[in-house]
Amino acid sequence: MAKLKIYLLGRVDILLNDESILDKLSHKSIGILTYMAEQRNKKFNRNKIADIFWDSNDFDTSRYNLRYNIWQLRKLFKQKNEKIDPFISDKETISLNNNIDIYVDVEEFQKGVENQDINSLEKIKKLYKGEFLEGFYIKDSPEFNDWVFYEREKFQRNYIKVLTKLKDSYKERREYQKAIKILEDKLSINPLKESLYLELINIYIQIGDRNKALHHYNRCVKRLREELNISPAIEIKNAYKNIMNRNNKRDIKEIPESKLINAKNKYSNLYIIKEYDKEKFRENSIFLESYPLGAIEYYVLSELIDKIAKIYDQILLNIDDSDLFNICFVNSKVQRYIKDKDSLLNMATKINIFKSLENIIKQISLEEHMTIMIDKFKFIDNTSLEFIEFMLYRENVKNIKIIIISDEYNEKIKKLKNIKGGKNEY
Amino acid sequence: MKNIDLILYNGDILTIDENLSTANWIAVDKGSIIDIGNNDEYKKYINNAKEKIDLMGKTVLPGFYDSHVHLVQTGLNLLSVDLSDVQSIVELQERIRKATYKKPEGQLIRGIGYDDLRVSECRMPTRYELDKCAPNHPVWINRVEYHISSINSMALNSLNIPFDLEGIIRDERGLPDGRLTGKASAYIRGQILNNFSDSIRKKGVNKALDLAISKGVTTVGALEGGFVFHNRDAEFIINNNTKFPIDINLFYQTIDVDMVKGKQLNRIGGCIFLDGSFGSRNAALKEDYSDQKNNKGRLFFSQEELNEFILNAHKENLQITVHAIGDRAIEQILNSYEYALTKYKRENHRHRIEHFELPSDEHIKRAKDLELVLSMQPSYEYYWGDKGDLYDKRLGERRKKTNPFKKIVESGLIIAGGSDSDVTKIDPLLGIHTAVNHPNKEYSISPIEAIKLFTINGAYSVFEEDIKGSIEIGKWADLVVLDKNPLKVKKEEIKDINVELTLKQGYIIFKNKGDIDG
Repeated sequence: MAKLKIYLLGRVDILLNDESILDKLSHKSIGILTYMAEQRNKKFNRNKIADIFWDSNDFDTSRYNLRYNIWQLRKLFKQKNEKIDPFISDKETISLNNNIDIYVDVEEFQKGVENQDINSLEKIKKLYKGEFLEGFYIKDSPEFNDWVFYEREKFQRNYIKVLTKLKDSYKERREYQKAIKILEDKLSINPLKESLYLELINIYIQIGDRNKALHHYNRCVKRLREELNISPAIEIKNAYKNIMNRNNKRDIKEIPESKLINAKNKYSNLYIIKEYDKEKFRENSIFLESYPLGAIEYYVLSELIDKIAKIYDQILLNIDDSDLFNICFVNSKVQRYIKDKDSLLNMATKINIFKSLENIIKQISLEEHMTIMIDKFKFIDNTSLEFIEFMLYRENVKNIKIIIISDEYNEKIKKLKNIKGGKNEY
Repeated sequence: MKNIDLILYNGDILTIDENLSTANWIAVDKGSIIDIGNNDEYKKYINNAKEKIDLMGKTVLPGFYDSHVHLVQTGLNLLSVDLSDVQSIVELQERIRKATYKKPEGQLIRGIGYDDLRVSECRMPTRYELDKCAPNHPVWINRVEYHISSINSMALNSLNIPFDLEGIIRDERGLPDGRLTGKASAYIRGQILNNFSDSIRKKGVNKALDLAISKGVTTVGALEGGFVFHNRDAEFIINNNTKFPIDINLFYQTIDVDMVKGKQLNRIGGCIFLDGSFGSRNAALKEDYSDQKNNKGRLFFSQEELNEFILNAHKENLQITVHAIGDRAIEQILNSYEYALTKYKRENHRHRIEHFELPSDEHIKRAKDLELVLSMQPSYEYYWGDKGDLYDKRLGERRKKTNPFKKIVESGLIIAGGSDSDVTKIDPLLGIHTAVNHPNKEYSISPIEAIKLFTINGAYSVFEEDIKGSIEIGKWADLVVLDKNPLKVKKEEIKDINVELTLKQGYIIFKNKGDIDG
């Protein structure tokens, strides 16, 4: 039996016995076949079809054109050695022959839209490869094109219904990454829908990824500003305030005691955690990454100063010029906080830089708890490692945690473990 | 005496240097001015110059700056069908039908400047009406201010429109009728502009630049990307900046500071709209519009949002500018600059305000205290400033307070002149003319001050005063030769002065049909 597969969701394709025959069909023939396939149990009035595809006042011409296109389709079937006639027709009517094994993707899609089961919905989602008859247009057939617009909207609506059900199910099952992916699919259809950004923000807040929540807030703000010149809705602004509210930050109390490696240090809490644990603690930390950069000293400290400037700029405004001058040698960004810019800049020694940075961290820690997290610790540059040692040894900053991410015990960690403390001895 | 590239002599040269001195000749080598002088001193170069131009008494000025141009959109609009004067939808259909004869089927036809309030039907065309005149071309008609648009069926088919987008007008069957407002119009605009290929942008921009050069412009401040426009316009400028025949200084119209920094640009903004325009009655005013009670226009940013953006960009050492027209919007941006500069003192920032059309005396003082640069468009007054014109209709008596150039110049503020093309055409001489012949006489400035708006002040407004903006030894030989001296003709005739030659770094890039042998 002839097997005809017609794909209408996304770019149209028509397969006869698993071979695409699209390039063998005229534009109008594709239109006629897709129009009839989408409503394949219907018997069509020949005049009506002729009118739809040949919007002309010349009745005979349009009837002739229809006959010609139908004949071509029949011929193609014959050329493919199919004995079965794809159409059943008489003088007045025409319909697709139900004796052909016809698969039309939209039929399967429509049947599945009302499903509740997550597996079925996932399958249905995959059927939607794009808009209904995407990019397909017949120049002088306004009725056909209007039909396409109507169907396109109908299927898009149903697709969104499927996406919404899937997203809700994923959220219920706490499969947040999958829910996020669905929200992105919805955003690709309508990138101006603010409620979708809000949902993304809320999911990221829920899973504790403050940075990603902020990213989506900023993405929403930028999109609305650049495309509509408007601010986001009050709900999104509130969500933003919620993210920025420091009282809302999670504290790192979950670090197991066993991972504490330097109990002797009175004030600073130093922890070592494994790579796979880092996302748990990253959210409220100053997150620094080390790289194997060879002899570039102060690399991690420069990054630390960069982050401090971003997060605590208000505090930097009140820091003494002398301290700011010293750390300028590590990162010139702090120059902007210097009040008396005409002062002479003397070369700072390493110890001066360390002390100044310690002062700044101390100042911040007076106002709130501070967590510094260093990833890929084995690559930390020697001077930055020395500074961590200095901080732990001095025990001058009370309200701070230092978390080191390392899957191995190495010489650098050993150095930290051996610090005895005692601020007056440095 | 060594060989030099070019000598221009026998001229009436206004150097616009600090002393506003004049000269008769200029010697140019390797793109720069190497000597300048009076009388016959040029003769020491004449035998060694590869090229000689006898100016025959014509006037030379530094090449003009147009500090506010939407260059890519100007270019794209030059490739579009102008509908600004159609009086009915039938006439629009005829104009579009004619355009179909000139374009291959399937290529987009864009109609611009259409004003639905001026046509007899008082509405935008539907897709059925557009299908009738252009069944085989996608068509996109923009209302004059881009907030409403119409597309035909072919265009509708080629776009993926979210069904739930606000602003899709529907017919009695519930199908989109082709007219789009608000979010839908903005979304479609984004999609269509995104689909414009860079080769189309190139074609348009080249056309626009040719026009600019014929008006003596050698440097353009291009305000690209963002709302109403498209970020691809800005990217186009970034990607091609070394290929243009004149200098283009990009202002990226975004609030994304990180993105701008990432692209290693040193300025941000442009027409980031704090308010709208007088024409559409949404420029933000302190008092109601004279022709619409209870309407004071609107602000598109909250003070808090604007402060955050300005502070963020200021901290990152960027030069900033935004669009502020009405007194309420001007107030808002002044507040934000004050906020940022109080928090982080920064010398020589040269932050700008674009338009600054209706400032109060206090605004001028505050702008001066902040050391801002004002980027203004004098020719607005030419089109809208007289009794009965737009300013009069919208603002009533307040029209006597618009664009107070003299007050601003006297306060010591720097004004950079621009056209806001394609709101008004790129034509610095028209700008100079209008600044001198301001409809409100007390705001008129002298011709020499007006010339500075489009030369040295333009250069200052983008940190280029050391290399351009005046005719001095060591500076680039960006020059414009005029058939008459703006300081010597009757002030009412400045706009009729013609550009004879435009030179970019000593190369003639435009030559009029006049009698100079270039």
